[in-house]
Amino acid sequence: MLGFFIKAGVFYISWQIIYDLFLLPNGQLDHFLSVSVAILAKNLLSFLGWNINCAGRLLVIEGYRGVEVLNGCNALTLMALYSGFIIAFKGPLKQRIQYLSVGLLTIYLLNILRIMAFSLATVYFQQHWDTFHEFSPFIFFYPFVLYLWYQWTLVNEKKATPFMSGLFSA
Amino acid sequence: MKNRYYMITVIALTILSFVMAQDPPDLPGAPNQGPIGGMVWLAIGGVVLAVKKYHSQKTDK
Repeated sequence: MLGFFIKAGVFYISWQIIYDLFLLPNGQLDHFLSVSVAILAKNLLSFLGWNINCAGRLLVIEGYRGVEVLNGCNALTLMALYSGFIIAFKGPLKQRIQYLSVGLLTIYLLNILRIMAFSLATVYFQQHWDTFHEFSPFIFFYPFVLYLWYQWTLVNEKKATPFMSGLFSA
Repeated sequence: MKNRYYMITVIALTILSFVMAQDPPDLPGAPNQGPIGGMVWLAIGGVVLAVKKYHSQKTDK
């Protein structure tokens, strides 16, 4: 157990240093995640028939307030938190890589859905937007992340449930 | 004379463009911004999960 905390601690400290010293000043990773999420959310909403415009990180359904995807909204920190647990908790390397790639990709896709939901919230319940925003990670991200973490601890015990074992054995 | 009318027209149009120029229309409101909050609860959940797993593995042995 001590090993888990040491590995997790080293990972998060290293991540914070790398982020503060390199990724944040460089800005490209944050920019890519924010803008691509905004563009994909805009395209999906356009496909569903909404009259929506996108300018960089800003999404606006015509006639309603916009939604801006800031650095804190692009799920990069959540991706780091998710990865830290998978890396720190012992398990086989091959499956660790699978859990990391599937998890990170799914967090990215969930964030697109979340931003779409934020845009629609400006239309349907702007007055409750802040509340929706506050609880949105608990709806979109945290159950999924906790589920994958739990599955990862089961992989370590060789008791993966059919969903994940089926997913990765295919 | 012709040049004079031409100059007056150009100057009048230039001044008019300054007078009539307007700011672009505002957005319907300041954009909403959606950072991900409450991550500390997820981190606590992860720690509880890990401790529980290690504890159960230890008692199984």
